[in-house]
Amino acid sequence: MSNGLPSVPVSLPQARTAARPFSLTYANRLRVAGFLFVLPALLHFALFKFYPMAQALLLSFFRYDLTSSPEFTGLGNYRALYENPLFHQALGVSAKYTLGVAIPEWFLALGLALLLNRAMPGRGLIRLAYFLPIAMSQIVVALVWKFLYHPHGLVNGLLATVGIGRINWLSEEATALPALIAIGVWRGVPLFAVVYLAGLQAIPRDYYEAASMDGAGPWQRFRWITLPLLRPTMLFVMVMSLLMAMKVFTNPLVMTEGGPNGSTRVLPYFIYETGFAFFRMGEAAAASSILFGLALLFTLVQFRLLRRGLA
Amino acid sequence: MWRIGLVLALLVGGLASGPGPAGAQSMKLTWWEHANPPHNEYSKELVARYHRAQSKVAVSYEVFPMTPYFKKVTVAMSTKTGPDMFTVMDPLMPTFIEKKMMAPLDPRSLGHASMDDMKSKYLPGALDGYMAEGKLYALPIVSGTMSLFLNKRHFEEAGLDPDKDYPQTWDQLARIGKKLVKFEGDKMVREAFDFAMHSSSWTMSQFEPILRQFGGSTLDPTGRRCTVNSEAGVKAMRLRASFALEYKISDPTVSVATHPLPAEDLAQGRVSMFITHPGSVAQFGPEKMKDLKVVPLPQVDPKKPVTHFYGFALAVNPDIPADRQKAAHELMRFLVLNPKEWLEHTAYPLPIKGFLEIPGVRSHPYIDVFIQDMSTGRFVTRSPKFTEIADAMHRAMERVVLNRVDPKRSLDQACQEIDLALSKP
Repeated sequence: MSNGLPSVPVSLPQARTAARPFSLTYANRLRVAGFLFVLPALLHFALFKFYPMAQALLLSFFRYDLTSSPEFTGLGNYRALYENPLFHQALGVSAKYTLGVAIPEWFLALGLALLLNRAMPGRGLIRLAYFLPIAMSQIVVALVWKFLYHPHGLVNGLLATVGIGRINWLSEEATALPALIAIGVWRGVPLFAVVYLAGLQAIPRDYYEAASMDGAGPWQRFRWITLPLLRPTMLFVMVMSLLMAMKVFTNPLVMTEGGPNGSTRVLPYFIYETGFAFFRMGEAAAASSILFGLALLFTLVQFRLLRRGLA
Repeated sequence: MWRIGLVLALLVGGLASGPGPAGAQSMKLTWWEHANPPHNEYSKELVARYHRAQSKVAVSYEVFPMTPYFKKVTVAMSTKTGPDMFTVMDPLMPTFIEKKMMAPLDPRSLGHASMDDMKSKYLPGALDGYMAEGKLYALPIVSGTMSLFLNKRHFEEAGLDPDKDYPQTWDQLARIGKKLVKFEGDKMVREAFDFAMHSSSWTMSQFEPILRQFGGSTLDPTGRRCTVNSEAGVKAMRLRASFALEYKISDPTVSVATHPLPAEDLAQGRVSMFITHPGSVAQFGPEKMKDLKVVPLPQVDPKKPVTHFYGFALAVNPDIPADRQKAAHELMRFLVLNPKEWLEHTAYPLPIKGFLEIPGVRSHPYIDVFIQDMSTGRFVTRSPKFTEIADAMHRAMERVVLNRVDPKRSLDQACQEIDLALSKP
């Protein structure tokens, strides 16, 4: 430079700037990092959930027997389902099973969580005992209960000690579905109790102390503190319990094969049979789409109702 | 660079070390079968012998419970994840052939000069159930029928001579059953007789012979219309239900919830008479068989006997390469080399000519009864919709036997369901 001052190395930063195609602000870098973190999960969902769902929906408009090329039938598969009395029966069985399992789960799981949330001797052991059914394999559970429900099995043996006569749990239409519902509730309650328990323990103790000082009794504390603050957990439990019950498959498959006389043929079992035993994959896909639509509807209604409550 | 070299070296080393579990064998074949313990034990033994006899092919033998097995095979084959070779039951042949789930078999690769030559070595009609348009799709390994097994001790306790007083007709069975059934108060503690209630294929095996004895059929001759709600069908269903509802010698609510191997109730002495297959002789074993006797299937009219004939056969996956198909043929050929051993281990006869003349075969327990029942046997209804037909018939039977629905009404409903299934492509 002509003024005699040492030259400023201006070229270096310029070179650096030129090497980077774009620069990100700190906030944007955080966003990109966040996106990269969730990208594997997004890819997993896209590849293994959304893509098959989209394929199933597409397939529901085709006649496809798994071996020959799919043939477009428009709404033919949906019409076939509408005309199939076995589909109507399966829909009804699924509705009864879902409500029969989910509704008791909401209340029993909450009751169990409230019980386990209290200080009591052996609380850890009791929690473990209640959680064990969830850890067991579904197939094992089904097989064990099949033996327990046998006309000469343990359940009837116990009932006989209190003077109750033999019940043909899995052999009669009137009792087969309630027997499966009881297993669903037995298995689901501990799971949702743990969820409720987490929700209960997240409620600050100060609220209860303040309410007690103001003279609020146990019911008032439950009604005005616990229930409102547990609403997000309740929403989760309601949605999950309904979805899980709607998807039940293993127990009817292993214990009753949908019988007697179709009284335990839930929609997922109907879909499995239609697709893989009767080779009507398009019809099975249409039934799957209907099941998905119902699940979505249930979820949206619940979100709406409980969000309104939260607001 | 050295890293790439290391990876390449490891890869080459890994490849050079050859297949792990299969050892020196260069090809691995998978063979699936339904669960039948004596049969499975013998199959395993044959696989071990095959491994000793040659070194090219390793066979992975896998067993699955009977009731879900055929659904599993169906799903696997249709999703192209099936085994190289599998055992198939004859009623599923039309479905599997229609859906191209089995490769046509080459008689020459099975050791025969031609198809005609092969047919000439089997009993007349024995291969027909496995053929379509002149091609053989499965190689029978065992053939079966349904005969009546009875508990000799129970008979003697009731003052009956099992050698003379065994039932030859269904009416006689009901009368004898009245003497065999045991109650404690109003609780039936021992059933005199039982039909299997646990699966639709057993329902078909046990109901269709009665239906045919009355002169009826499940489908019309074209196979496109249900005819089971005919007068003969109603009579057959009424008879089927009468042992539980009218004579009260059977408790279907126990049978429906019972062991996956329904004949176990007979072996355990909980039932006095049960209709089952020759394989039960091996399943029960010689000790239990001392208490049991096998007699021909009861008839509506013993002068016009109609019984059930069925079989299990080996099939090859059509989607596997030609060299694997050839290897499967060689394995099949090896497996059926010794029909007498099959009989000794599984209690099932092989439907080949001169079978009874093989030394020692005639001394097999009750082989004469089984052969007699097979000689009047017919395959169950043949249809690509067999699974749906069997399911509809199973529900019809459940409605009548468990819910006391009128047989005609129940069969009308079954026919609606079957006709709907048949109307679909």
